[in-house]
Amino acid sequence: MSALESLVVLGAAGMTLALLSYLWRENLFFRIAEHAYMGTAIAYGALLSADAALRILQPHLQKGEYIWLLTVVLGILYLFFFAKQYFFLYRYPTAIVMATGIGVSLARGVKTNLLDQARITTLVTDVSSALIAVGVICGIFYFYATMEPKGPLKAVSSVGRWFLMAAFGAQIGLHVMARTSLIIGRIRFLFFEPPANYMIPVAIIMLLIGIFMDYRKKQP
Amino acid sequence: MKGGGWAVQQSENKKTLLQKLQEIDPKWIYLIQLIVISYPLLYPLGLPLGTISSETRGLYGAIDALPEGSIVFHAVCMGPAAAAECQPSLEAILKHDLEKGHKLIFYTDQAPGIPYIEQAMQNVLGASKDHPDYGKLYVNIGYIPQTYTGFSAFAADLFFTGSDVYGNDLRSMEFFKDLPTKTASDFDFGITYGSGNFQWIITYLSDPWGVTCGGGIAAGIAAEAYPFYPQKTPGFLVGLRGGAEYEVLIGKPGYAAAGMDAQSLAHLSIIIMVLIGNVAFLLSKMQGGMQKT
Amino acid sequence: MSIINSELLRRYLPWGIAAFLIILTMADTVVIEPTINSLASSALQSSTVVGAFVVIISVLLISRIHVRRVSRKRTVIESSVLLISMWGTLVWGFFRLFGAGVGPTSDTTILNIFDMIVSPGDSTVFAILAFFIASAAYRAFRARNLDSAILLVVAILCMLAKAPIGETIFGLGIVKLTDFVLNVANTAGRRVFLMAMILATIALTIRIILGYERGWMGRATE
Repeated sequence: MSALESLVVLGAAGMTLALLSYLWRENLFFRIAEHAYMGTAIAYGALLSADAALRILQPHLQKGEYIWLLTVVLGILYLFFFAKQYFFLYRYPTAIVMATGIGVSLARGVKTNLLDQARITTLVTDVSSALIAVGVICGIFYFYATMEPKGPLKAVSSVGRWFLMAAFGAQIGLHVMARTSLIIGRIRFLFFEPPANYMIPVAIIMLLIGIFMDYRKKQP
Repeated sequence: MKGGGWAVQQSENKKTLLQKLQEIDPKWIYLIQLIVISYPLLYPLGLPLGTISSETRGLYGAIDALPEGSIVFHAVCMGPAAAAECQPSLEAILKHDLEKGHKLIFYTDQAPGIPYIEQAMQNVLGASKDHPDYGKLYVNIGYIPQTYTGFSAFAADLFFTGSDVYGNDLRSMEFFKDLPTKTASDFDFGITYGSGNFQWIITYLSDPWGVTCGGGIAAGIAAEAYPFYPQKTPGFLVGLRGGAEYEVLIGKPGYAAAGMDAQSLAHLSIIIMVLIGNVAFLLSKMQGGMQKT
Repeated sequence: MSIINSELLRRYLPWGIAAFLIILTMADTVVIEPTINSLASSALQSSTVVGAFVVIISVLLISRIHVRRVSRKRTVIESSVLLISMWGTLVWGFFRLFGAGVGPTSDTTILNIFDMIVSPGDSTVFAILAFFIASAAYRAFRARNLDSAILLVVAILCMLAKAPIGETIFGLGIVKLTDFVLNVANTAGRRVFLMAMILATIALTIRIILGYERGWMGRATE
């Protein structure tokens, strides 16, 4: 491993430990790491966006289709977000991006997420699919009932709510799994990626100093 | 002078065990979690992985059934936050694709996704742009902004970006020469990775272009994939566990399988803590009810 | 009133463009007509390029906030670190992209910055949530009524079954039970969310086309 690669790994380990120090309490190292991450992440995203836009425009400009430069002009209109008098110019690129996004997602979404899901729900072939159909109907009733459900309708609303609670519970359980996997990845990096493991004793010493200083501050 | 008032003050200040249990300093919980996750990484327990889920088997079977030369589209829509879970799945599926002789095309809708495509190509294929078969069997389209509009534009015309992520002209690549329509309908299978959402690949690739799609998705969004299974998708991998299962199915246990011990103990510790908290809560409620009567 | 300040340019034209593009892109998915399809295709491709510029707003907004903080001597160190890291990366990246023709995906410095700062930062910020989830689970996950009990039980089932320890302790039964819960109860609940979301999107789109929804236009006084 070259010196530069070692430096990068050490820097990454330092970032990881600085951010993990938040578990003790908020501190300057955490804030510096957080701000460094925010700045570079935004810059990285901006660079990739610029690179992608250039790649898409280049073939058109090489063919002499200079009308595509209009997209650059429209993109620059975003800067008028910060203007007072000419703020309305910001609405043009926003209208284009928002409208194409909504148009493309709505037409396809209606088929996949509404019509096909309704069709699949009505295909009752066994107990499981029957239970799913019951759950979907009760859940939709719970969502859209505008009057207070009374009598048997209250039971329908309750059953719908239970199915929704089960969906939330599954989401939470799987979310815990997701976050645990992330911390496993980070701890693995710290333990097994040389020379990241050299930062661990440094971090432990700094934590102990921090704990001692906090303890001294609390003493009368 | 000590008297009854002092005795009452003492008992009011003294918290019960149940109250103390419910008000424990979170730092102790963080320490327990840290120990519980670190220990099995240093000293593996060797817990068996268990039953392979039907979702994983479905995805494995679908990829296994693809003939040699099939084009598999990998939408590596993940950033560093999802990479810990989805990168092992990506590499396991790529190893399977390599065994079966599939052609691979990579794409990402997130700027940070590109290094993970690079890493997967380096780890599995041995090289990325310098690979002798790059441009013939493998292409990396790279990042296209605006997930839904950008991908829709790309799906309608595979030469939309003009060049791949390295700046090579797409039209001159042998990969695209024999494709009949030069649209997404030429793909034989599509897989999405990441923690965005799963339904996007069904909505924008599977339904409009007739491409069978699966996923190597983060566990946090896996619950959203079940409404599409099995009618719209043959299967998907759920987080690190799914990656471990796929590694076992292809006979190459690796990174994901090695993390399962830590995952097990972490989950168990959280469940035990939840149960302790609930027992303490219920007992204190019962005690409070008894004191009132 | 001059044409620049007229309601036509300020409100009606952006609204008209939005409504036209929504209808055009929707029509493209259901109608096979060469003119509509090619117009929609051009609109999608242009939108991809235009949308790439939106990151300018985030860069300038963040810069404005943190320059103000530095000038007011609040969080000087942190804001300086952010400004230097952001603008340093941007200047270097643009210099390499437009000067040397080396994209950020090939430039060693940008890749090293990604490996050293962005990747560990992003992973760790989300990873510490694992600890907060554990703490929140202990302090707040309470089965106070039937609904929360269902939520808790399903969450515990998923956590047990999706880690090998569940099957090791409780056997295959817990895996089958969790599969049933995920494939039936969770599927039904998720389907309800999908349908509700798309119905809400339809309502929102109709409101945008008819001009009732103007939040996307930003400040109302201009």
